[in-house]
Amino acid sequence: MSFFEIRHLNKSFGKVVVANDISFSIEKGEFVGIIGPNGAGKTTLYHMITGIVKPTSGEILFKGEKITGLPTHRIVQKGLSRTFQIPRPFKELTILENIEVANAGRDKSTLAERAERVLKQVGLWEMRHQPAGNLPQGDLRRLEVARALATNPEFLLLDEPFAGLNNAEMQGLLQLVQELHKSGLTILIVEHKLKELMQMVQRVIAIDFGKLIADDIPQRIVKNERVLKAYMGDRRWDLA
Amino acid sequence: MLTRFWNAYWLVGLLALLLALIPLVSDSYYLLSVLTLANLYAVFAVSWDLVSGYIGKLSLGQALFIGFGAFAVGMYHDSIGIIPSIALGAIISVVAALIIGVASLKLTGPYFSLTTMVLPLIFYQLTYTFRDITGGEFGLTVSAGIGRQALFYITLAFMLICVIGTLMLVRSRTGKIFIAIREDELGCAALGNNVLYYKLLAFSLSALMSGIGGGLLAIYLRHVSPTVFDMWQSITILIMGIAGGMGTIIGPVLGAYGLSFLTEWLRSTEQFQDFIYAGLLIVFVMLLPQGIITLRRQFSALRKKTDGKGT
Amino acid sequence: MIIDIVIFGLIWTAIYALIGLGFSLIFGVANIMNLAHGAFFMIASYIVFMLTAQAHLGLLWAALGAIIFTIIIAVLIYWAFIRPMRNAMTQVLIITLALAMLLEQIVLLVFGPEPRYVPSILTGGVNILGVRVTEQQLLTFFIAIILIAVVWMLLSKTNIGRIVRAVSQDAEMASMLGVDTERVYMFVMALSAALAATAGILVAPFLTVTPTMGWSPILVAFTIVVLGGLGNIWGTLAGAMIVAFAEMITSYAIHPQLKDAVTFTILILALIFKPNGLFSREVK
Repeated sequence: MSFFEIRHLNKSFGKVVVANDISFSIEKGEFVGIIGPNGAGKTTLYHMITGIVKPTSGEILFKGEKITGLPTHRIVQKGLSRTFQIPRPFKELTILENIEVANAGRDKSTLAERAERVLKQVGLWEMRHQPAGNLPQGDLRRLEVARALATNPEFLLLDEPFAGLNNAEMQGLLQLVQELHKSGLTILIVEHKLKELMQMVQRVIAIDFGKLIADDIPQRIVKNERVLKAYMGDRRWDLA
Repeated sequence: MLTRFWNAYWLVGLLALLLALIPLVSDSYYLLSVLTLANLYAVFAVSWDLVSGYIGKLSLGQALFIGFGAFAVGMYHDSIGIIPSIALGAIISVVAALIIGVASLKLTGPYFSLTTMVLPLIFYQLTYTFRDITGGEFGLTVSAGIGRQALFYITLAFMLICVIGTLMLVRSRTGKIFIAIREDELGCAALGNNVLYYKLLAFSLSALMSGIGGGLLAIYLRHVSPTVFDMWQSITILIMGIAGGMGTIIGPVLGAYGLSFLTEWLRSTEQFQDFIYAGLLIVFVMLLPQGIITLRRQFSALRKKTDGKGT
Repeated sequence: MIIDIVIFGLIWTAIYALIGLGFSLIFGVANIMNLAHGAFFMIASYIVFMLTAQAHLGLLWAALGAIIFTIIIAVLIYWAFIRPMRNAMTQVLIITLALAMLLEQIVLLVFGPEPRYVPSILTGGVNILGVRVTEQQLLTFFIAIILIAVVWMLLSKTNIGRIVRAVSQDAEMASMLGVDTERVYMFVMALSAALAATAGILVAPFLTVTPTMGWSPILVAFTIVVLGGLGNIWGTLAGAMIVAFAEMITSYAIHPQLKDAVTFTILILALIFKPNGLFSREVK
């Protein structure tokens, strides 16, 4: 039984196919990246995994249990959490309060302990009483990660966490994510910044037009014919 | 936000204290009467704010639960006693809230607001239709044998309990989840929270408070008639909430007392009263949508900007 | 009795479709839930009354005057009150509700609460399959149907219709293509008010004209929108038919005063089971 498995997932919005027979599985403790051109269906995949969108057909299994079609909050309560591409903090609440809203299910530690642990992990503890609406982009991304962590996930899905960050911010976040993986968290990450991605992950899944076109280790992905074809001509990509 | 600070509790406590002292210094039945009504409207306004201001679902029909509470007392106080009839009104209100909530709180957009607007109108008609049990346009008399002063203190205590209770709720984690829902339902759900459950919670508490208040209203008025479901009932509460300040709990309390006095002041223009109310509502929504209570915050934000110390 | 239900069900379907269409248009195109929609219905009836009873104008002129006046009020309301806060649905709801109350109050102060009498354009009645129908009611039916057909053609075949549809789908895109979206919104507002006004004028002769007559139409319009989906003429017709027939059945077979309660029950059931309308394939 795999830790996480997707079987023959399909999704169309009318005539537009955004997921075409996608199947893959992830084992506990893996660190997997997802790449693909814009519009390839990566975010929709996340939406389906987290119950925001219902797939047309196919199954999603987490820890052996079917989670397809479950409401979002139930999936999160089972230990699967995600961040969003564009951070969506609760602007009228402070950083600390943003964390407090997270539901950690059967976590034995108290609200305060959990919040402190998580905020210190991402380095936002000092500014915890600041309203979340005024933060710079780098801090917002950390807050996104912190909030997802506060739900005590076993499986974390990151959606382009490095977008729009400067070098320093990127390095900081990179380190954080690597530490999280080392501490035992299974991580799936969608990212366009391939240089950073290849440094972190052990395995890469490539998606194009809703179809899974490759599933391999980073070194071989960059030489994969189909992957190269998908990106040929797309100047926003840097496979170096 | 004012609700964050201890100020809010002190303010309510002070207000309640002042009010409690009034019967000792004044003989005026009239004043006591106005204040008793204001106590009830403070609760109605707060219960409205919990739904409209906190979870962000605009309720245009608080009168519904007030009406349920009032009619429960009107119809049953004779047969089962005053307190059981108030409890009955409360239970009916909560059950109604759950049904309406499940039907309309899941949806985005104005569906909830419109449903709440329309329901009291339906019941207004129904009370005329089933006039045998509701007394039709003549209504029902309520004789509770509670003296004016006693009723004043009862409503004051009721107001204090409801307002303090609600303040405590909104300052707790649940309250923060309410605010999170108002801002971003999906984000809140993505953090593992059952959003529908919290919406229903807010809505049922709102219905509970208004239902009990409605029962007390019937006792105060010594009468209950279909007009308790009138749109104006809901509009009045709307003005109190908006003029006071949506999403602050304290704002609507002040709005309730303020508007109650304004009403008395405008007594002489009886027939224009509703017209003025509607006009006031428009003025407030257009010029001061955040309400009077946030004036100080807006003022200081303005001053910060001109000092060049803005964010 | 069945024939009564069928005939009057059809007549009311047409009237309700008129009302629902206006409401659905302004919501579908501009995302404005106009709670004053019923007030337009009511105001038009009163203007016809005023113009016939007090200014002694002919019915056709009175009707025209009522429609024009209602349109003017509607556009003014849009421009002065709704436009500044178009993006805050909450404020729009409150403001249109307050305006509806304000209009009701004005009418109440000017005309008093007693029901008013508006003369019919056509007197006399016909006998259809044993049921007596007034010629006015038949006229109402035909005018309503024709008007709906006209609006359908306007929206689907003309250039203006194309622009309106473009704006309803993607206002930002439309404005980038040079469309003045504010003008479109005002146009739709005017159209919406005209439809409500026409309905008000048509039914005034056989319905009680009171200041509070605007609230029932809102309930009906809302239910139709939920049942039929937005900006969808066939959906609106279907929704109107369901509401009209349900009301007629209740009226004749159960109790006439339970009409609104039945409509509301339909609304609640629709909200629970089919919130995107009966014709949607994708549930959001």
